[in-house]
Amino acid sequence: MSDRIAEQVLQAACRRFDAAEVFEEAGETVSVRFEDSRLKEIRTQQRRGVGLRVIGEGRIGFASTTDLREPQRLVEQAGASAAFGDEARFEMPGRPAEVPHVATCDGAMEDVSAEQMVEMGREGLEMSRRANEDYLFACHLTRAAHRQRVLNTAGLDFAYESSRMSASVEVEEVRDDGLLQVYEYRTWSRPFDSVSDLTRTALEKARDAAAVAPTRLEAMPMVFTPKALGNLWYPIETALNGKLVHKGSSVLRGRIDEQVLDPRITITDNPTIDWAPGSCPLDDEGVVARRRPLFEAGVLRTYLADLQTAGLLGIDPTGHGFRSYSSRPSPSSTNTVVEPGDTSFDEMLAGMKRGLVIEHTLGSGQSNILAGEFSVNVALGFLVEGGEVQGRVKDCMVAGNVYEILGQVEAIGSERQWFGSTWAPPIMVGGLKLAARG
Amino acid sequence: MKNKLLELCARLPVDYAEVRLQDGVSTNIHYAGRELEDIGERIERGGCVRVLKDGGWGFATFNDVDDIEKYARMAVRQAELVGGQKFDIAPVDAHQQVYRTPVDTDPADVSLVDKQAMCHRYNQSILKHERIQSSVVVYRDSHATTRFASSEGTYIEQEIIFSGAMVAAIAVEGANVQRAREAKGDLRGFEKVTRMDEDCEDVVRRALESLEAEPVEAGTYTVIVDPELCGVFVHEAFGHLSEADFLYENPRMREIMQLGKRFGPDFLNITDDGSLEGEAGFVPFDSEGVAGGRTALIKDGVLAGRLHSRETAAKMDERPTGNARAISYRHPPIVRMTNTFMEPGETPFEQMLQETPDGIYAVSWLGGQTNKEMFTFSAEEAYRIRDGEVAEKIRDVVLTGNVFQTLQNIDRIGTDFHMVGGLGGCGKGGQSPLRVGDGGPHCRIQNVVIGGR
Ligand SMILES: [Zn+2]
Repeated sequence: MSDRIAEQVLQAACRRFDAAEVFEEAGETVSVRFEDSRLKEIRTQQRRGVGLRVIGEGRIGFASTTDLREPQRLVEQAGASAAFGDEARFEMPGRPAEVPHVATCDGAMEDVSAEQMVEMGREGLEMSRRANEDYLFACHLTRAAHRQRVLNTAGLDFAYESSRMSASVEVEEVRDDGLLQVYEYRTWSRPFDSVSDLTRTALEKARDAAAVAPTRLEAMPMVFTPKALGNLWYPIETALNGKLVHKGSSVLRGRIDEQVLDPRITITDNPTIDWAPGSCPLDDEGVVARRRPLFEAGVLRTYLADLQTAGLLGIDPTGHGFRSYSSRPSPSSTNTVVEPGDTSFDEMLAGMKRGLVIEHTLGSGQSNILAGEFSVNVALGFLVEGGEVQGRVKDCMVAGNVYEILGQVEAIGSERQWFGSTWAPPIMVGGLKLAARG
Repeated sequence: MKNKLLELCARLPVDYAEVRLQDGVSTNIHYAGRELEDIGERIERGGCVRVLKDGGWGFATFNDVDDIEKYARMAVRQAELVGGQKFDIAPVDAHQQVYRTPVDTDPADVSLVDKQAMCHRYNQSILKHERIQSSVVVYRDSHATTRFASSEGTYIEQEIIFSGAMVAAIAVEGANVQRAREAKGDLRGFEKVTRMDEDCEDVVRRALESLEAEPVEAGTYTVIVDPELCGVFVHEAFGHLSEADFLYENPRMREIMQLGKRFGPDFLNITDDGSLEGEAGFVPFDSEGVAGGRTALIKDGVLAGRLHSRETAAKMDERPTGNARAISYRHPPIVRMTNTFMEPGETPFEQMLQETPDGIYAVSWLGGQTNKEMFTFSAEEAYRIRDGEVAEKIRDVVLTGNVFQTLQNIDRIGTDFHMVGGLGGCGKGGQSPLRVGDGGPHCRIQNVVIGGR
């Protein structure tokens, strides 16, 4: 990354504006993709870009570029945008007294070659072939190196590097009664050298899904696995977004320190976990990133805010301003950590006379998210009777209100799993209605 | 630049090489309620190299255009690693072309001040209504010049100018939230977005009416869909199945999608046409340098064709159709639709209604998903049809079904026709949004499962 560009832009900007901030990022990603049971593609993506945010006559302007030949043009565009921008309700932070230490970059990532990733994928493919010749196997492996820098007219100049490796495995079977798709995913800041565990899990689930269990319109207890929990969490995370709170469209507005979820549910936003995918020392605006409870024993403790949003809400910045070079910062979570309970997964299943384990879903996001409503097709779900998996359910929908569902849960799992940047146990809820999809 | 790119492509030790360099600037204005969420311009400059060697593709994309040689070498190494069975891509004649989008008014000649004033006017006109809680007004334009060069000697420089706007009204009463939106977006120029005052009135009226409506009673209905929903159905539920990249390696889907097989009634015709100048999905040349063209997908109810890149055309022994598209230099081309529509039929809308004693009239697309064979779409607006007439408005109408069954169940196709571009677009393989046009006439479908909320 050339140091001069960011500084040139900042210098040109500070001559014209009261305050300015440059966000520069550069990165390279190598990805290997297996599709339809063969190696399909290897790709390299290099990217580098600069975003400029300015405050001129009290208003915010923004522009971005990947054409680093003309810094002056960027300054003019940011100025044009500032003419209509929102009134700035924040001051840019200077150099922090102390930068927390959190591991985000593993030097070994650079040594992971495309050849090695191809080998990993081949191993998964072989496993899938051995399990069933008819399975279509897909696997997407990436390794990424990223460097970002934020500098501003308040004296901040902070850069850090991060690394990331991700793998997804999908096993698909085209059957007379429709498609079966099983999906597993992992992402981490340190390299891993195999996808055989992900593949094994996917194959086990595909085997369990061989039989179709008949269902009818009925209410039953349901276990949301960490992967499916996103459906319940997404409306809440959206409602935690300080921007929506400020606008009045969040149902969590004005409810800080109120009991919102079941007292057994504690959820923390934690950017300080070494090697976790959402970890960072400072957010993308230069605010120190800290562990913060979102729900403590079900009680709402904070919203997610970037600098401007915090200013509008009259609260301290929370360190949740994230962005790419081409976008303004906006509130977003880091790592979402759900505290475990005391029921093992097997105990949960054993406790269900007749119930559903939801693995993954199709169609989230169609319902009224701001009101906490969700409505999803169960893409992969297992019917359980007396602790025994009977097979997968087909053409089913589950709908409800997440605040009602998580307002009173049946049980919280004792073992947690990472899925993306969420670290959560399975959660069992009672009395949700399963509907036929038609 | 031209000679340098052609020379680089010719020099690489591969079976085929292509380079795309893109220079562009885009404008975005976004109101959400009273707040101006975003206003500004973004400059993008970048490139990519794609090579084919011994049956394997390599692809590298970059912003540091000066390092093109380095990334070209990386693409070659990756292609070698992918390997596979050597194949030739379908032949096309080498050609050299320059294309510039003809526009009524170039959005680049309109100042940001004027664009903002226009959006502000639309936003105010929506928000002034007492029972409208919120609004969305989005304006977007982009100018992109792409230089394409290949090892076969083809060189194309095309400048694409897109502009569009979307206005939406959100009405809320308790837990009842209703939205209505209207969008215009295509390659015709800036003029159309200056004429959306009526659309603002319209979305307000529709959102308020939906608020009063009763939720639909779930069940199986005869449904008449409007041209927009017809277009989305044709694109999302059927069109994606015509994309050959997904077909040629999926034996079962290939069997289902066999040319010559009956898919619907005699009067059903579905077409993809990238050569419609001005429409949102217009493709003068696709990202492999092939001119956009017209492909009959369903002709007289029978599967007649599919969409190809040069690779899939060769592998299925058919002709390239100009459907290999990339949303930007950051992505390789994949098989995509352009303007996809149902051709008009013989039943005037009025007659279609008269012949429907009991049913649902579903208008405009709100959202939805497909899963190859199944689809779920929500209609923005819907009415009961009783005794051949549009009766009371209903809300929360979600249409679901099996694509093939639904095509067979089409029993009337209207004489009208309407193409919709808009700001959205199609998503596939991590490339979104791709500008596309969807369209069709009114059409009637029997036995559609309608789920309420
Ligand atoms: Zn699409």
